[in-house]
Amino acid sequence: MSLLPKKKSDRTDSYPVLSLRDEVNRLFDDFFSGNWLGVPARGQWAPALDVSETDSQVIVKAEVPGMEAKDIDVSITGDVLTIKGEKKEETKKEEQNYHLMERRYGSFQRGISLPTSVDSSKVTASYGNGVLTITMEKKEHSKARNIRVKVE
Amino acid sequence: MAEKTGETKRNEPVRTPLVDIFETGEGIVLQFELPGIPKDSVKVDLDKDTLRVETTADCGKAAGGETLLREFDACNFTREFVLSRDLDREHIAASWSDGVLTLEVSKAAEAQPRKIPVTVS
Repeated sequence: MSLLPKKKSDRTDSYPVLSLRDEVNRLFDDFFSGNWLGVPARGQWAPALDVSETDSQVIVKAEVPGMEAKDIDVSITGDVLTIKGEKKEETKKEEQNYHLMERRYGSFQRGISLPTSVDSSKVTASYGNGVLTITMEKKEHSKARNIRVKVE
Repeated sequence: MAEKTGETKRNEPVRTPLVDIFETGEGIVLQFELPGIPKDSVKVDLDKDTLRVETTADCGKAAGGETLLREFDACNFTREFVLSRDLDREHIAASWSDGVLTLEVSKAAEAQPRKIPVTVS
């Protein structure tokens, strides 16, 4: 098993104190990542990921809304999956008068070590509704196997 | 244009979408990032001055399997803004592309910039 953070517990917004805590956490996170004043530093962002695993597959989803498929580059080297891309800002917006600018633009790169070996020839990547989904087949020897216990 | 904050009445976790808001000569453009939401699940409501964007996607476990890493804290989004008085509530255009919802709200006729020609007599 590689180093992946433990999954977050399901929290619920029905407790207003928890959502306040989240909000404060977000403020701190934004501040220390240089995104304070609501203006993210240009060229400094990485998409949020979801990674899940079934018996035969590893599925990675990345949130990259507002991109074109041709601007996304996915590669696998050993057990490391790398997602690269560039989110272009529509040029016509440059001279506009901004009220709020929270979306991040520019290039990004994110590497993630996969939990098991995958067959790099059986990888599919698709982009829809702003989410990139990468489906990887596990290598035969890393697939889950059921071993029957015999009673003697 | 101001953001309206407050408690959500929904009993499932929701996220606040990232938004760009900019002004053009004709009005205000709002762009919401709503990744992973099918177009049919995006709802835009205008109640008096409050413009509300809400998504109601079915967030059931998509593929099954074991989650190893989860950075999307919820699947649905909601966010509200209060429109200022100089915006025309009747003229709001919405478009959708690759997880981004764009709303264009026109300025009321009286708030449109007018060019006043100066003639030298």
